[in-house]
This record gives sequence, C-alpha cells and structure tokens, in this order.
Amino acid sequence: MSSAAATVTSSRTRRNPWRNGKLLIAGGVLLAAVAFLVFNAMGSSMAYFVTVGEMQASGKDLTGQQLRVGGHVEPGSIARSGFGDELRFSVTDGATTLPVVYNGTVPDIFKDDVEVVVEGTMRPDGTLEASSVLTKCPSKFEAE
Amino acid sequence: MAQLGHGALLLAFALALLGIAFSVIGQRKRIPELTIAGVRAVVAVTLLLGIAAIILAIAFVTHDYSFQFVSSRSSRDMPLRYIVTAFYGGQEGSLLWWATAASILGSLAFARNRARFPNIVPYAAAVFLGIQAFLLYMLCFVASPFSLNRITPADGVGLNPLLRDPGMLVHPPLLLTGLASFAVPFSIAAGALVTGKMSAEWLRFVRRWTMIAWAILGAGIFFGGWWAYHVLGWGGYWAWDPVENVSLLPWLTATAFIHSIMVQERRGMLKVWNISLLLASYVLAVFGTFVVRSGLISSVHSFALSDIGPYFLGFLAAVTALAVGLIAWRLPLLQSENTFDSMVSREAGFLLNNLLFAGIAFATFWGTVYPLISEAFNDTRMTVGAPFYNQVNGPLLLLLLILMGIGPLLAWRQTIVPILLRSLRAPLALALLAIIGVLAFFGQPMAAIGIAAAVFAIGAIVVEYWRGARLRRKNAGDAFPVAIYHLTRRDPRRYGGYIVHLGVAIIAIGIVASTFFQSERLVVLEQGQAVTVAGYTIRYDNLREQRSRDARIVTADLTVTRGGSSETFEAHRYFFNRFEDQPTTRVGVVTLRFTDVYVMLTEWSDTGAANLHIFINPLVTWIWAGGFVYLIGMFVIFWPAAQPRSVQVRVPDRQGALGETAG
Repeated sequence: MSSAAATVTSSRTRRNPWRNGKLLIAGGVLLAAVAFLVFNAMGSSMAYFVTVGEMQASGKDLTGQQLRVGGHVEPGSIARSGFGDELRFSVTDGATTLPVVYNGTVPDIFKDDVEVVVEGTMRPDGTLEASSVLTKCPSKFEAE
Repeated sequence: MAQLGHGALLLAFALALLGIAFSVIGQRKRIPELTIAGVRAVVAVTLLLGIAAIILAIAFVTHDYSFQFVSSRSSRDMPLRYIVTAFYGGQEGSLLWWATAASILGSLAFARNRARFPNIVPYAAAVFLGIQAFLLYMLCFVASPFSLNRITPADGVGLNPLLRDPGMLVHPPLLLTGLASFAVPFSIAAGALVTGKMSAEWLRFVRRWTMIAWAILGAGIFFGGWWAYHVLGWGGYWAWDPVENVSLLPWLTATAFIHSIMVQERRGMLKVWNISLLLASYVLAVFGTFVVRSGLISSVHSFALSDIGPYFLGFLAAVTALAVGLIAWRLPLLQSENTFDSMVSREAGFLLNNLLFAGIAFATFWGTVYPLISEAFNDTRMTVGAPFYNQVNGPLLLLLLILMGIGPLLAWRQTIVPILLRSLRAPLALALLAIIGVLAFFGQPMAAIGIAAAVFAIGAIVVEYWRGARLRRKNAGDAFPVAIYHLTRRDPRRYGGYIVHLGVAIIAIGIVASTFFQSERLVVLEQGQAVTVAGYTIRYDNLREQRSRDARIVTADLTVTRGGSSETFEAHRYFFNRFEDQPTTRVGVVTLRFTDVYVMLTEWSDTGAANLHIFINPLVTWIWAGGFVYLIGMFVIFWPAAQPRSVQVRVPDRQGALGETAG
C-alpha cells in the first residue's frame, strides 16, 4: 500500500463517514439476528437438569415437563415384559427413586448401578417416559 | 526405568524455568549467549519429554506392569496396536502426549526462526516455556505417568472396550496435538505483543503456525466424528455434546482468524480483532481441557474426574489474564491503517465471515455453559440439547456456505457488482437446479436450501479454477489439467484454500442429507426374516459366536437388497475379557448407492431372534469423502509455492486486482 493510495483512502473515508457506519449497522443487524436465534432456540430446547433427589424435593408438579434426570440405575430394577418390548428401570440417588420406561436402544454399558442421564417427559403417574438414555461412560479415555 | 522417566520430567521442568529466566534476562540485559541458551531450552525440554515418552511407550510394549499407568490401561491379550494407543488412554499419558507434541512443534517454530525474529522469539520462547513448565509440573507432581505399583500385577486391567477401535489410533492423538499446538501461535503472538514488533513478516510466521494447529485440530475433530459414527451406534457423528463443543470452539475462532488475517496482511485492518481471535483460540483450547477434565459440565463422555481440575482452572485464569493484559497494554500499537471502502468488498466479506464464525462460537459456548449460568442466576440447572445448536448454528452455517461461494469472487476494496453477478450466473443456475431437484424428488425445503447453498459454493469454486486455468492456457499454452496443476503450484494458499472449501461444501451436502433424510427403525427379527426400511430390505440370516484373543464376539449375518443389488454384512457385539459385563457394539455398515445401511445388534434371544436397530443414512460417505478432500487441500496449502518461472502468468482477480488468496 503506497502512502499516496493510503491518503486517497483516508480522504475518501473522511468525505464518506457513513461507510463505516453502514458496516456497523450491518454487523449490528447480524449480531441481533444471532441473539434472536439463540433466544428463540432456548425456549424450545431447554430442559431441567435435576437429580432424582432434587426432583422429589422440589415438590413441584412436573407432569408433561421436559426433564433430564441424573442418577444411578437401581440394582435389580431393570425389567422388560418380553424380548424386544419396552424397558422399565428405576433411577436412584440412594434415597429416592424414579421409575422410567424406555422404548429404544440402551447404550453398551447400561447395567445395574451405572450412572445415567435420562431425558424425557413426566407422565401423570409419576413415571418418566424417556426419549433417550445416556450412560456416563466410565469415560472415553479412562478405564473403570 | 520409571525413575529415569520421572527424572527426565523433573529435569525438563527445571530447564523450562531456567529457560524462561535466560531468555528474558538475556534479552533485557542484551547478553546474546544467554538468550540463545534460553531459546535452546525449548529444544532441550523437547528431548527430555521425548525420552520420558519413549520410556512410557517401551513400558507399554514390554508389558511392564510395575508402572501403575501401564497396568491400569493395558493387558497382555490386547493387540499391539491398542497397547500402543493406551499411551494416551488415560489422564497422565494424554498429558505427556500433549506436552511432548506441543514441545516438538515449539522447537520447530522457535529454534529455526530465532535469527529471523531476534526480538520476538526469545519472549515467545519464554511464554512457551511457561506453558510447558505448567504441564511439566502437572506431570511431575500431580498426575505422574511414572507412578509405580506397590505390588507388580501379573497382568494389566486392559483398555476400556470402547477405546479398542481403529478410531483410537487417530482421533485422540490428533485432537490432543491440535489443542496443544495452539500454544505455539499463542506464544508467538504474546512475544510480538511484548516487544511491540508486529511486522508483516511476523504476520506470516504466526499465520503459518496457526494454520498448522488449525489443520491438526480440524483433522482430530473430523476423525472423532468418524469414530463416533461407527462405534457408538446411535446413527450419528456429531451430538453437540459439551465435550465435542469445547473441542470445536478453538477450531471456530482459528478458522475465523485464518480468514480475517488476510485483511490485516492486505489492508492493515482488524488488528485487535485478529490478535484477540488468535489468543482466544488457545484460551479456549485450555478451557476445553479444563471442562473435560474437571467434570464441571455433565457430558456423555465424562472423563474420569480428577484432581487436575483446579490446576487447570488456575492455568486458564493465568493464560486469559496474560492474553487480555497484553492486548490492553498494546492497544495503541494495534490501530487500523485503513478503513472499509465499500460494503461489497473482499474485506467486508471476511468481516461477515468472521461475525458468522464468532456467532457460531458464541452460541456453542453459550449452550455448553448454560447449565452453569442458569444455576448461578436462577438456582435451577437448565440444559439445552442438540435442537438448540441446530436451530442457531444451522442458519449461520447456511449463510457461511453461501458466503463461501461469493467471498472469493469479491475484489479487495470495492467490487463492481455487475461483474460479480456475471461470474455468479453459473453457480446460481446450478443452485436453482439443485433446489428444484431436491424439492421434486425428496420434498423438504430446508434440505433443498442447504444442498443448493453447497452446490452454489462448489459452482463458484469451479468457476474460479476454470477462470484461472483458462488464462493460464491462453498465456502459456498448457493443457487444461496442466494449467490447473501450475495454477495450484504458483499460489498454493489460494488454490489449496479452494480445495478446502470444496471439501467443506461436500461435507455440508453429506450433513444436510443425513440429517434430513435419515430413517430409523427398531425391529425384532427371527432368523431368515427381513424388514424393509426406506426402500432397503434387510434380511437377518444367522447368529453365530466366535472368539478372538481378547474377546468373545457375537455376530449377526445380514443381507441388504435394493433394486437389483444386494450385499452381505455383519453386525457385532464384543465381550472383551475382563469387561464381560460391558458388551461393545461394532455397528454393521454397508454403503449402497451412497446410502449407509447402518445396523446395530442390540440383543438376541435363546431362539436366535435378534433385536436390531436400523438406520438408513444417506450420503454419510460424502462427509468422509469431503473430509478427505479437505485434508488434500490442507496439504496443498502447506506445499511450498513454486518459484515464478520466466513465463510470468498473473492470475487477475475480479477487476484485475491481483488476488493473493481466498482462504
């Protein structure tokens, strides 16, 4: 960039100060759009993340609520009426338990006592109808 | 052996501290010998880390179970390739890998460029050694890979079954190296801020090393998706899980940087923004490591919680403070030399690109840390799931894709719109055809728009190549392929960048198709029974059991038919020795007509009936193919440019300005 060209640029800018203003407006519009997208998407995909204990302690009526519940699979609770049927199990924090029904594939390491995050909606009878069951892998990179 | 390894690390730690003192004092008191010694400390630290790494690797290969780390991660029945990967199959080993990889790259960057940047490199080396000193402190005193077992066991525990997969050979080492290597550009930038000498030559230096870190990290993320796809069995490759998100954040800021840095090179603008992006990339890499290792945010892949969290938090605070402090201090030096001339210019295009990348990074960051924010302010922990990221990042990525087509055709300073529109005619026509085609055959307007945007971008890249090749043909009389070759050799940054763009567009098509047109079905089949999902008939033929050295394997034999073509494939379930209660899936995947038939064997009954989870995933292979193109583009970028020959062929940009690159 020669100095002459630089001078031309700056003098032109001085004559047209609105150029940068226009750019700022364009940037502002874009940022507002991002903010809107974030705000809009928050409403539709937010879920409470609670442990079983916190859920019972809150005493709120959670029927129909989208929930993510963390806890351990209660030993001996995994049951299924027939091969390929829906799965029932309970999630516990040691003191309180929450019954869960799930119709889908459980992760490889799903078993008694394993830590899970169950996502789903609360039925009126107090059972969580799970749409997904995530196990906390002992880890991706760690042995048990 | 363990003592030797531990000793090497201790010595490296001491040398790193000494190196910081030497390079800073040498530079301040103008004692060149001291400065040189300080910079050479980076190489010495690398050699010592190399010794430690080799000792650990030997311990793994020779089954030396006196090492706690070795006995808890490997066992005798494991195949050698997974024994080797167990090196980074745990906290201590991955830290050692991290430190060693960063150190090797740091040595290459600093030892070779000391003469070229006599002012900057000593300070850069000092900052780098500070980072290494932290890692070495962790390796020596907090998470030592050289701790010994009190009683040496006869055999080891073995590697977690989920990790015994070819993905383990590529994803963790690349990802760890990628994250770690951002320390190099961070140090180079910090060194320049300290000295205030930010020349054009420095800009090329720091850009080159950012590109290297960015390329490695990108490859690491890519192979992570590939691994997740064929091993986790949920039919996808990206779940917007916090652990995935935090690895994406530095990649996003670095991608923004390697675009906007061109504006600084050409026009001397956006200096504060660029240096902030660069420093933020390393801060985010450390942030990611901290989040992953501390268990602060609940994730599907929670790594073993450990006590290194607080240390990393301290480190994160230190790195952030350094970055913010240096920029604030040097703000007067970072004044823009120019202003924007036009809204329709290359620099405005890059600015938009950056705002979009920043928007994606912000949304991803926000969604990831939202549980913490909501807990702090609202007392309830709220989480956002994949739909959030898709709704926010989807439209932003779509805009980026369109911009990727237009951007390279924009001229610097000011673009003459009619000329721009003329060269966009062909890509626009292709995009229109794509919209009509997708809508007519498959419906789904959103998918049609996504695919059209990708087709548009590809069309624009082809136009760029064709235009350059035609000129070259006219001037030098080369045949078309030869012209393209010479074109690329002359300006690898520009044309390699286009190849990367091409890869991204192909990946985008794969992502759109597999997101919008995926079919899923859970079925129970008796042997010999078949089910049809989305036009693909899958027959369950047989169930059998076999044994390998380290596992019992249950296999379902399957046949898929569509139209006249059929193919047999297998879905497995592995029961690894000592991990019998953790059966591990090997998904059966077969590709027919660009569509993956993806079957997971979840259960089987005594009678031999099988419970199968079937996904039909269109065009996922395009993602892998696009990734391959992307990697090729990366190699082209790094390929040294051919020296100009006697026949000067200039490739004019739109309106004749000599285009340097399009990134």
